[in-house]
Amino acid sequence: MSREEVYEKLNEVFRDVFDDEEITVSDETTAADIEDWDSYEHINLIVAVEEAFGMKFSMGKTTGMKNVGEMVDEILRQAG
Amino acid sequence: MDLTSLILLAVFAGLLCLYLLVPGKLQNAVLTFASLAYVYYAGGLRTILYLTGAVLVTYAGARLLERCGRAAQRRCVLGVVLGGNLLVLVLTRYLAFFPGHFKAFPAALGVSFYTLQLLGYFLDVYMEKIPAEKNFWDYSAFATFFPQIASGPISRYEQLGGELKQTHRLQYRSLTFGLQRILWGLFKKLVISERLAAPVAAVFDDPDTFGGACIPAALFCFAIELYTDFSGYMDIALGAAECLGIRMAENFRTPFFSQNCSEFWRRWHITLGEWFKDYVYYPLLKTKAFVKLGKWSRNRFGKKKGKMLPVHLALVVLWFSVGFWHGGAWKYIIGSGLLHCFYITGGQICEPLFEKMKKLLHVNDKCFSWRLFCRVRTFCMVCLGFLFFRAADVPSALYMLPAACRFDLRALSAEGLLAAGLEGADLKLLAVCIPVLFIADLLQYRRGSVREVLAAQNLVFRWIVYLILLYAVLIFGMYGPGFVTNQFIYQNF
Repeated sequence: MSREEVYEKLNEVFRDVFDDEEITVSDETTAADIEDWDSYEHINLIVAVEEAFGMKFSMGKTTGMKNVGEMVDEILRQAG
Repeated sequence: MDLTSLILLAVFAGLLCLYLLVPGKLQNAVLTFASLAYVYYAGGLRTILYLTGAVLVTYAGARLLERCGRAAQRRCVLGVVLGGNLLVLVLTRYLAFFPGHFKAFPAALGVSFYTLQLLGYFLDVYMEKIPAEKNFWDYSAFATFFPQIASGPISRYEQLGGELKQTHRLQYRSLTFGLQRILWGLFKKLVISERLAAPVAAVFDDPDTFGGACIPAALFCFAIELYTDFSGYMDIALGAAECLGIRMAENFRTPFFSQNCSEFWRRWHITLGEWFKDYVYYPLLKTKAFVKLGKWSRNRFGKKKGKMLPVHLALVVLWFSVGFWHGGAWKYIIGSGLLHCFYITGGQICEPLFEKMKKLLHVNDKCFSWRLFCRVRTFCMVCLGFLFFRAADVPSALYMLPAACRFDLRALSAEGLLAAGLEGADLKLLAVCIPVLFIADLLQYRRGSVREVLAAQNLVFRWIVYLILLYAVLIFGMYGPGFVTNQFIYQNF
């Protein structure tokens, strides 16, 4: 899976979770860039990403990822 | 623990010299032994035994985790370390909560603080956020660090461990800023908090005698007493660490300026809230049961409303745990837990209704008066929680509740606080000191650091402020022969 393919799928997940068709995420996107991305929504997002990509993030990764770029790195690492 | 004890001050000065002079490699060993000596002084041999046991178990457990290849082995180590530490905590602190006539084990100083801190480190290793610490002295200095042992802050290894790994040498700025912070903490504790403790205790211990106007006044005083006591301790603890050149996590950020309860908990006892969020709330939401519940509720109630059900359920568990941590009693579970859960979840559920009402009533929520209203409202809501927290038990709190909710100006008269044992001179002094506290908090809220603001002033002005503060503590501080300083309130937790 290429980085571009991950982003394509990831954008769909973000749009679905935050109910906003305008969202397009990048490596630098953080919780501060998306209005509804608070601690409540964070776990919903993580669970949705796990389901979409068929993988599990450790709790360390769940709470430790600083931006979307780190999330994509982790997805690519697990996808092997 | 008497903060004004000359022995304590002399030992701290000695430690400061020794710590800053020994080679970097020995600093954490020096700190560990000094911390254990302090723990013995403040908490006795029992605390040393409990603490040493917890340090050894979490250190060895974390090292073992890295050698376990299989998930089942890791879970086994997790069960032993988590179970062992929580068992000690329950046996020493929470046994009375459970039905049956169990005799609680003797408690140890700060057991609920250091247990969370050490388990936080162990869980971070288990969750692969950080590697296990190999250097025992680095870990033991983190685990036993004397300023935090009695009442926190509940430090994270990522932050405090990193600080302790560095070599520290005498730095003028750290030393002076640390001393200034200790002085400010002593002012809060000895001048304000100690002065308010007696009238608050008089009213809460015997609400029947006082009643009426005294109860809301005593509740307001308790809010200030608790804040100055706990944040005063934090100032002393963080100031002492700063003198050594070590930065610790902040536990308070002007909480009474919060505009809602969620914000209040991001500003009050910050490290406790963060701990429960990271190690209880998030893991719970990621369990299979909660993920399944989320799917079911989205199908049943629609996407937007449905996704909030597991979140709210996890919040109930989170706030119950926070309340329970304060002491195994329903007054804490309600006052420091479930009541705040009700505020936060209720606020979220009713938000669309509130927005509609604001539009209907043409309320401008972008102006000072609205923000002021939100702050006063949040303070009153928090005070309601403090009523349960401070009352003897839940029935006493419910008995005092109607009077506490009544706004009565007589509270500020002779019938109010003065009748509860606060002398006229004390009242006048508090009428000066509480506004000083308010101004300092306002400066911190707007500018970030009062000490930075002061440091930017001219030498004469700076020293006038320092000396006024020093003399205020020396002259108006409640300490000395014949006066027993009250324990820090959170030291009992």
